[in-house]
Order: sequence, then C-alpha cells, then structure tokens
Amino acid sequence: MDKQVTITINGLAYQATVDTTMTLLQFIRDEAGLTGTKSGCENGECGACTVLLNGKPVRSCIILALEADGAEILTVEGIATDGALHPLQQAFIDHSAVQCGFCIPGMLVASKALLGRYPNPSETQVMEALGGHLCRCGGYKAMSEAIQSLKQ
Amino acid sequence: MILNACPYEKPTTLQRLLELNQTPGAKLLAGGTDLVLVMKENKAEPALLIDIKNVPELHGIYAIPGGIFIGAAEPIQEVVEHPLTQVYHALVEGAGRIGCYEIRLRATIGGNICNGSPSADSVPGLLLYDADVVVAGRSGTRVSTLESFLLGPGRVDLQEGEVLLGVNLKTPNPNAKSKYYRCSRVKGMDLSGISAGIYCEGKSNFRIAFGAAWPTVARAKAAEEILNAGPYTPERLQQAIAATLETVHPRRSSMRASPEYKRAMVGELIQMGIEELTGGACNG
Ligand SMILES: Cc1cc2nc3c(=O)[nH]c(=O)nc-3n(C[C@H](O)[C@H](O)[C@H](O)COP(=O)(O)OP(=O)(O)OC[C@H]3O[C@@H](n4cnc5c(N)ncnc54)[C@H](O)[C@@H]3O)c2cc1C
Repeated sequence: MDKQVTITINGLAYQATVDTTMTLLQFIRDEAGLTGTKSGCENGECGACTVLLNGKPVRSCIILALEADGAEILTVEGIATDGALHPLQQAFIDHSAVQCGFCIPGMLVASKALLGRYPNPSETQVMEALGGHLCRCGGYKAMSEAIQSLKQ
Repeated sequence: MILNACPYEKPTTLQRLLELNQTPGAKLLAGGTDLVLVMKENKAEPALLIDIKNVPELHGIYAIPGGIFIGAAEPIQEVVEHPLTQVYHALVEGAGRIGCYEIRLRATIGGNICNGSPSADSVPGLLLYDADVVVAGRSGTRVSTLESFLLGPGRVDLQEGEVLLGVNLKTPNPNAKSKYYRCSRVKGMDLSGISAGIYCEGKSNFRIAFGAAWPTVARAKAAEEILNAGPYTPERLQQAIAATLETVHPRRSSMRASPEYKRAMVGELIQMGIEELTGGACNG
C-alpha cells in the first residue's frame, strides 16, 4: 500500500514512501521538516495549514500526500528569497499585523496568491481572500492595510 | 488522524476508473473536502481509494447541443468563474457560497452532488434549471434527472461501480432570472441553516428550490403550481407558502438551525426572492 512520491517544496524535491494515512500537511512538516506551516483545526476550516499547490492556495490538512505526487508546493519558508523578506512579510511587520503569529504562514501564502490574481486588490477582495483564515488575535484590519500598501 | 491505510490508485482513463470501481468497498476521491474529513474521523475506511481527478471525461465546462456540460471533477471555483455558467445565476451564487476560496479551488461540483448533503449549496441552482446527471458504469452511460438522483441524506442514485461524469444544463429562457439565498449563523464561512433558490421568467414560470428544508435539496413543487396558476397576488403567495409548510417538517436534530427557524424562513425566502426578482411587491 506504500507508494513512493516526489513532492517539490519551495523548489526542492522531496521523496518519501507514504500511504493513505498521511496528509500533505504531515508530509510538509514531518517528512520535509518544514514546520512553518501550522496544524490548526485539522478539518479545513481555519486556514493555518494553507500552502500553494501549483500556485493555488489549498488546505494541506485535508489533502493526502499521495494526491500531491508530482506537485509544486510553496510554503511560508519559500516566500523569502536570498535571505531577504518577501515584501508581504515586511509589510506585515511594518503594519504590526502579527500578534501571536499562528495564522500568519497561511495568511501570507494566501495573500501572495491574492496579489498574483489581483495586483491591486480592493478591500472586499482582501477580505474575501482572508475570510477563510481564522485570526483570533483580531488582526484582519492591519493585515488588510499591509496587503493594500503593496498596491502598484 | 487516519488510522488505516488502503490502496490508492489515480487512473488516467475512464475505462480504468470503471474497472477499478468494480472493487468491493472502493471509494471515489474527488477534491476530498468531504471524504478526507470522514476518513480522518475513521468513519470511512475504503478498501481502495480511487482518485478521479486525472480522468479527462470528468473535466471541462463546454457547450453541448441545447445547453452546457459541467464535468463532475471541475472545481467549484471554476463553476463560479466560467463564462458559460454565468447565465445560471442561482448556481453561480450558491456555488460561490461554498466554504472559502481555498475550499472552492479543491471541492468539486460532482462531490457536492454525490455527497448527498441536504444543504449542498450548488444543488438548488442546478435543480432550478432542471439539470440532468450523466452517469457512467460498466454497461455504458445513462442520463437521468438530478431530481431523481437525490435519494436522501448522504444517498444518491449511483449503482455499484458507477461514477458521475457530470451534469447537463439546458440553455435558459432569455427572460430567466434566478437568485440564491442562504441563511447561516455567521457571514463568512459557515454551513447553511436553510437556503432557497428562486427562479422566474419575467413575472411568470416561478420555480423554487430549498436546501436544508427536506431530506434532500428539492423543488417546492406545490408552491410552484399555485404560483404559476395565475397572476402573482398576496393570496396566491400565502397559499404557496402554506402549501410548502405542509411538507416542511425539519427534525430537531438538525445541527445548524431549529425547526422553528427553518419554518419561519420558508415564507420569508419565497416572498423576498419573488419580490426581488420581479422588482416589486404583490400586485406591483
Ligand atoms: C471548511 C469546509 C467548508 C465547507 N463549506 C461548504 C458549504 O458552504 N457548502 C457546501 O455545500 N459544502 C461545503 N463543504 C463541503 C464540501 O466542500 C463540498 O460538498 C464539496 O463540493 C465536496 O466536493 P469534493 O470534490 O471535495 O468531494 P469528495 O470529498 O472528494 O467526495 C464527496 C463524496 O462524493 C463522492 N464522489 C465525488 N465525486 C464523485 C463522482 N464524480 N462520482 C461519484 N461519486 C463521487 C465521493 O466518493 C464521496 O463519497 C465544506 C467543506 C469544508 C471542509
């Protein structure tokens, strides 16, 4: 029942033997050792486990690792380049958009995907993109301002 | 946590999918936004998991004679955004209410139908436009009405080994308009307490579908008959609501809305929907 999969995460190919009990989130955290992506509700509701799968945001806790065989994944660790923060990360810091930080890895990759779709997102588009991400510190306003500050 | 592993196959042809689907206890996996959750609760332990996302026949949204076809494995977000679906207003609105963006990218329309939830948000819109389902099995492909396909909570009319290929939608009447209304506890990500799709052509040919009012999503046929028997008047509206309420007996065990709330909303939704679509109150 085991199968060998190759999943490319942040440009690096990871190979492992997995079965249907392993989620993509477990693969990212336990096989690849990338613990930036968080495990929250474990049923797709909270958004903490969001990663980009072939460029699109998805909930890695309700996807099996097997389903992602051959896919390209981007996690929060992959959005900074050459040791420099991604503009979104800097904007989140500048706008004090981070409190406890647990939701932030999901928020950042979802925001990155949002800016890919709409380089100049409206307030409504930002809220729509973050609406499926729970932040219990209440930082949505600061996050929205941080994202909007990157409008071109 | 998923406790027990099972074999996993990802066929790339329909023929192979149908062969694999002969395996007793096999389960089809589309977006997994319902099934993986059930597997995590260890309430589903398939003998074989068949990932159907790479089968071409289950993909695409395209024109067919007299209407369009929507492949079962098309993600909900694709249904929401595709140019060919935009004339089916209540379908686009209902599908657009499912989960959040990330869920809609993964969840499929076939999964929404086949999961058989009485509150599936894409289904009222499909029923308003008299959608048909296209089902493939070892002995060939059959087409039946979506209405006859919905059997009860969690139950659809799929025989052993069958797979839903997609839905057919007829080109709507040029005057057709529809709207989807969903009552949920929070604005944002929440499941529906009760929902309604309302359809009309000008001020006639009213169609009404409810989600979470009956054991399946269904059309309010009695109300439609009354409303379509003559001009829209306050009396006719009240009769239509009363006729619908005779058949709405929600169970107290419903997780998301009380029976009292659901019954109270039935009339509100019918009236609000018709008045918004026809642009005026009774006699207007
Ligand atoms: C956080 C969250 C929020 C949600 N919010 C909503 C909501 O607001 N409204 C709503 O309606 N739903 C909601 N859902 C439920 C779910 O996303 C939808 O029902 C979705 O459309 C299911 O599609 P899927 O492709 O993920 O199905 P899967 O989970 O892959 O499959 C569901 C069932 O259908 C069967 N199946 C799938 N495709 C086929 C096929 N082609 N032929 C035969 N059988 C098939 C599977 O075997 C399984 O039994 C939500 C789910 C989550 C996790």
